[in-house]
Amino acid sequence: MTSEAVEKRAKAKAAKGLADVAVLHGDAKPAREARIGKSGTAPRGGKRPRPEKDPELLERLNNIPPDFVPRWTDETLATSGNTPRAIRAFVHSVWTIMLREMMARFGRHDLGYLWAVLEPLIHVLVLSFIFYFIRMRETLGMNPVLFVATGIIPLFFYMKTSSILTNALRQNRPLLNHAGIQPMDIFFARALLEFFTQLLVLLIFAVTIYVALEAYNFGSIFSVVSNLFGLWIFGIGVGLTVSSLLVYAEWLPTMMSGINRFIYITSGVFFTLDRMPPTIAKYASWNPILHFVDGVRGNFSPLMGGSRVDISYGYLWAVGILAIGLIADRALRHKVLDR
Amino acid sequence: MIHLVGISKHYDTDIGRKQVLRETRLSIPTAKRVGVLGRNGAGKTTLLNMIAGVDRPSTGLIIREARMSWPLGYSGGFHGDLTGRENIAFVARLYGVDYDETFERTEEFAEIGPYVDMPVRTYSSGMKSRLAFGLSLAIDFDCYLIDESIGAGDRFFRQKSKKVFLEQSKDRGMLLVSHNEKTVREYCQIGMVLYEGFLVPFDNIDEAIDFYTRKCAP
Repeated sequence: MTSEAVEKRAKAKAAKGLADVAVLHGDAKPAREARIGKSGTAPRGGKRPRPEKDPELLERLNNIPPDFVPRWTDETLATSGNTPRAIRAFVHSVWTIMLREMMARFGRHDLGYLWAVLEPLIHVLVLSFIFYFIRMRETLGMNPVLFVATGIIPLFFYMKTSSILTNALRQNRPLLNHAGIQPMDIFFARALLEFFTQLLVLLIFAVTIYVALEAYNFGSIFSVVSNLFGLWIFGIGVGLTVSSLLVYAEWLPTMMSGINRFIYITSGVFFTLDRMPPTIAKYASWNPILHFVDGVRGNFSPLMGGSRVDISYGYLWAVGILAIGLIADRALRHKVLDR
Repeated sequence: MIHLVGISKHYDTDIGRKQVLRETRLSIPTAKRVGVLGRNGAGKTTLLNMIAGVDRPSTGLIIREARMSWPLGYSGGFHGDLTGRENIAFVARLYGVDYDETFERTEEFAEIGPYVDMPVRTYSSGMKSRLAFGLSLAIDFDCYLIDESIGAGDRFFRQKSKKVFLEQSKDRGMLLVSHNEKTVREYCQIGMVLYEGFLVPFDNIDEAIDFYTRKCAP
């Protein structure tokens, strides 16, 4: 063997090695597709021509019978877009789905709607027990039950909405068989129902506490609702994002339950931003949900909700996350439905 | 009319891209009985699901200009925690039809008796599809979507449902997808064949069957 030949072989080997590296570094998919594509279009059994070259098929495809000739016009395409009719259909469909969900929750043989009140009640009882006997001074003169209730229920606006939207489309996919129902109708109906459910829960707690425990000075209903709305759209954003990204990351819900546990601890259920040592408050105030929660609580006691609470910071996050959720849903929805 | 405005469909799977439907520009008449023939896995049900709205085309747009039913006898849209009666109420409200009339017509057909006030999750699969079938008959659709066969439940009920359906849908359109050329010949006037991702239209059902048997035979 001449030295030239050896060198040539070595070069070829190196080139091959490079090719292998290229495959390992993420070009694997096109390579695989190319392979499939080849075997998919190759004549089977050796006799049949490729369908693209089959003269009979081509003739059929070029001479569409009158029954099937495309008949849509620009007008057809325009009316399928966003018109008042589409909005009416949206409202009708959302309302119908909401009624269906409500009926299902009321009629269920287990606790149904009662659970919507019982779950926060358990949280409130356990946490106020702890506050009452262990950290009494930390609620700073506010009734501990009121303190915990005005923390946990606003937080539920975020938590419940996001978790319900995570599974909404997958669970209700068969509903899309009805011509009038679009995926967004399902998302919106579930989210809206959750908003009103939690609002009712908050009302029940607020009234009960006022009557039975402490007649507090109530602030502004507008302030309460605008903070709750922020938490709600934050929840919608997170729910839509997780629901969409689940296509690529099945472990996402597990991660989210970890993150939500962290949020539960850091979002002001146990403390209030205004009475923290400045060094800790600096970091705690990064959490946008804390601002909303403290914003709600400030309306139930003049001692709470001070200068550090910034609703516009919360909304900056909430609107951003909502935008990400809507974009993710738009981009990945067909993949979600493919599963 | 169902307008397939340049639609195509593929799935990206772990073993590569599977092209189910190549770009298609057709308008399917909804006043006629249209049969779609295709072998197992050719994408018939995917096409039906896209027309129903459950699946999305990968590209393009589907415009439905008729009152379309959900796939005949498909009971997946029922809420298991709701009773049969409540599910009927939901569908009647959704389609904007009179509840009492819809309920009467559904109940008369579905033969589920007092179970109509039990949650649907307690139903047998036959009862569910009878309820779904009865409900789609109780609402006046322009065009019925049918996957594989007409009828629900056991043999006797299938006969009855077939008879009632054909009687009632005499002047209605349907879109039936099937791998069985006999079914298609029995019910359909015009047809399409799904072959290698091409949706090939025919204005004569016999030509469609001829094409299907020649091209798709292994």
